[in-house]
Formats: sequence, C-alpha cells, structure tokens
Amino acid sequence: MLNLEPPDPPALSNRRLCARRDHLVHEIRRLEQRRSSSWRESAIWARPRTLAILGMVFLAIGAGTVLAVAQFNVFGEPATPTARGPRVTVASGRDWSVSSWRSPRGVCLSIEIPNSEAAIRCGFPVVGATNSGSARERPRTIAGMIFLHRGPRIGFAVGLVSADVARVEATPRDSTTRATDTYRAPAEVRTSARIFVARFDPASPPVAFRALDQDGRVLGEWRPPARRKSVVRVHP
Amino acid sequence: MAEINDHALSQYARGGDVEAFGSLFERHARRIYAYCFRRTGDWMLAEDLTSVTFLEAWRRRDVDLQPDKVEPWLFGIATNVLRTQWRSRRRYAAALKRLPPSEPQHDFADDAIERADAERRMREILDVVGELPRGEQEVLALALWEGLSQTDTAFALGIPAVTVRTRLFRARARLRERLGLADNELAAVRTENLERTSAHAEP
Repeated sequence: MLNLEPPDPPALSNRRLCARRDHLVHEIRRLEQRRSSSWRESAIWARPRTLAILGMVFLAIGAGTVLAVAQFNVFGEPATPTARGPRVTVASGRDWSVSSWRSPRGVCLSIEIPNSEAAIRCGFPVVGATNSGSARERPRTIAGMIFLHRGPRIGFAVGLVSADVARVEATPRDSTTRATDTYRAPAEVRTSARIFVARFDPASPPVAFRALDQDGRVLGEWRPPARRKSVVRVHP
Repeated sequence: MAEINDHALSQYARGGDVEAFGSLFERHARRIYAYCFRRTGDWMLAEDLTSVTFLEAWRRRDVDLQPDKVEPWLFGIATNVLRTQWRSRRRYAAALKRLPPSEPQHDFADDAIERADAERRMREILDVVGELPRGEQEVLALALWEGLSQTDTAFALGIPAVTVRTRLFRARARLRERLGLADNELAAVRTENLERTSAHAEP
C-alpha cells in the first residue's frame, strides 16, 4: 500500500534560513530604493516632460490648422478673390444674370438670381487664353461650373471655352443635344476665351458639354462633376 | 518583553518596515518551504519558491489582514506562486541570481542522502496526488498536509469553506478509488488533520 503521508522536507538549517532572510531584506531594500529613485526622477522630470508634450501637442494643432487653412485656400476657394477691374454683365434674363470680372485667380463668373442666391467661381483655365485660370491647373478647351437653384428650380451651366470654339452643345441624360449661348468675353475681363451660358431644367441636368469648331468638330468635352465643390453660394 | 504578533509585524511591514517583514519571514519561512517542497518534490526549488513567495508578499503587503490570517495569506501567495512557478521565478530571476552561494556543510553525504530520500518519497506521492484536479490538490496539501483549518484553507485559496469541504471529500474519494482502498484504509492521508480541520470549520 502506498503511504500518502508526505515526508518532512529536508531540513532548512538556521544558516540557510538566515541567508535567505538577509537576501530577502536586501532585495526588498534594493527594490524600494530603485522605486523611490525612479519616483524622484519622474517627479523632477514630470513638469518639463509635461510641458514638452503639451508644447508638441499645441505645435501639432497649430501646424494642422495652418495646413488646413492653406488647403482650404488652395482648393476650397472660400471667398470671392479681389476683383481686378470692373464686374461686367455677360448675359441676363428676366430673373437671372451672368457676370464676369478679372481676379488674381483668373476669370470669375457669377450666376445671380436677384433677391435669391448667387454662385461664383473663379479660375477657368482654357487653352490659349491667358489669365483665365490658375497656372497650377491644366488648361482645357472647355471649363465650367454648374449651378442648381434651390428656389425657382432652375439650373445653369456657365464657363469658358477657348477662342477657336464656335459653339457649345449640352448633352442631357436623354442623349439629345442642345445648343448653348456663347458670348465674347467683355473687354474689361481681358481674355480671348469665350463664355458659354446654358440654362436647363434641374430635373435633367446635362451630363456633358462639348465644344465644337466652325466645322462641327469636337475640340473638347467637359463633364460637370457630381459635386459642385468649388462653387460658392452667396446668399443675399 | 512580549513577542510582537504576526498581525503587528504585518502592519509594520505595511508601513514599509523591512525588518518587521524579515521577522515574518523567520517565523513562517519553514512552513512555506515545507508546503512548497510537498507541492514540488524538489527542495532547492522549494527554497527558491519560498523566497519568491515572500518577495511577492512584500509587493502585496497593502492588504488589510485580520489578526489571525497572516499565515493563511502567505499560504495563499505561495499557492499562486506554485501555480505560476515558471513565470514567478522568471520575474524574480535576477533577485534569485543574487543569492549568496551556499557554504560548505558538515556531513554532506548524510544530508544528500536524506534529501534524495525525501524527494523520492515525495515524488511517489505526487505521482498519485498529481492526478487529482489542481483545486483538489491544493485543498489536500493545505488542509491535510499543512494542517490549515478549512476556514484558513478557504481564505488562502479565496474560495468558500463549503468548497473546501467538497474538494476534500472528492479528493479522498478519488484517491481511495485510485488506490483501491477501503474507507478506513486512507489513514495515511492524515485523517486526523481532516477531523481537526472539520472541527475548526465554520458552521
């Protein structure tokens, strides 16, 4: 029969016990000393470290804000740039008008619904027309903007085309084509580009605008973006 | 001069008195060492685990103990150290390396024989007991081998006293079945301890 009575452990002599005790006390003192010195270190460095971290955080926030503002200025076109010259009406109807003027960002166009709202955009870089848009953007044959009015439910597309464009056709969703009006830019705007204006039903906005020459050849096409992010709405 | 009791020493230790904690070690180290030896069957490992137990106890000294619970508390820490002995030893490996080398002893051969014999016997027992679930091994070792009351065993293991009773009952049943013994033949597992601890148990 197996005896499950456990044996007494090998004796732990007084000498070994004392050695273990001394070792324990020594280790605890060492531990406490290290802990208190690390606490002192942290207390000494806590304030400068905190200040440094806070400084870095504020710096990061500042840099982020500057970058964001810069981004906004570059891409957001937050406000109408300073006009360089008079604002001239290009075309108008009973309840709308399109005007144009020069600015540091190139040609500005605005569509205004009197006593309602207006849309403004500056910079329509077109081929062969100096000062029509920003030098950073690639010039095209046709560049424009879309404006859907919230009130009387009318829509407009306006923009610039290069001087060799004879006419601009709008293509609604039903694939038909509709001619738009093109105008010589006012002399005050000082650009060789022509201005096109198209009015449409907001229920079926054009999906493309094609620029054609005298012989009906397509020189370029502009597809309005789904989001009209660079149009600034101005409420009276 | 009246001897300072465990509770007072633990309170001093709680306040950061290392010498008071050293005194606690002197009082309880042999009991913890015996427990560690009976759980491992290795006296050198048991010595190291005893040191680790007290280092760990220092780390956890902020607990507010009842006056008679210092020793069960130490047994509880030792049990945790045994459960995670490899991790615990790794944690305190640097401290254990700083132990001074053992001094040469007289009658070395006799000591070695005694130690080897104790280890062999203990390992034979552990081969059998080791087949029990861990919770039952712990209850058996604390309540029967170390003679803790069921209440203190429950405190050490952080379990209800009724669970201690249940585990003891199951451990004994399993051992009887494993060894093919009759009810009255398991006297070797210190049944006198069992009777004593049952008497100490809370109603």
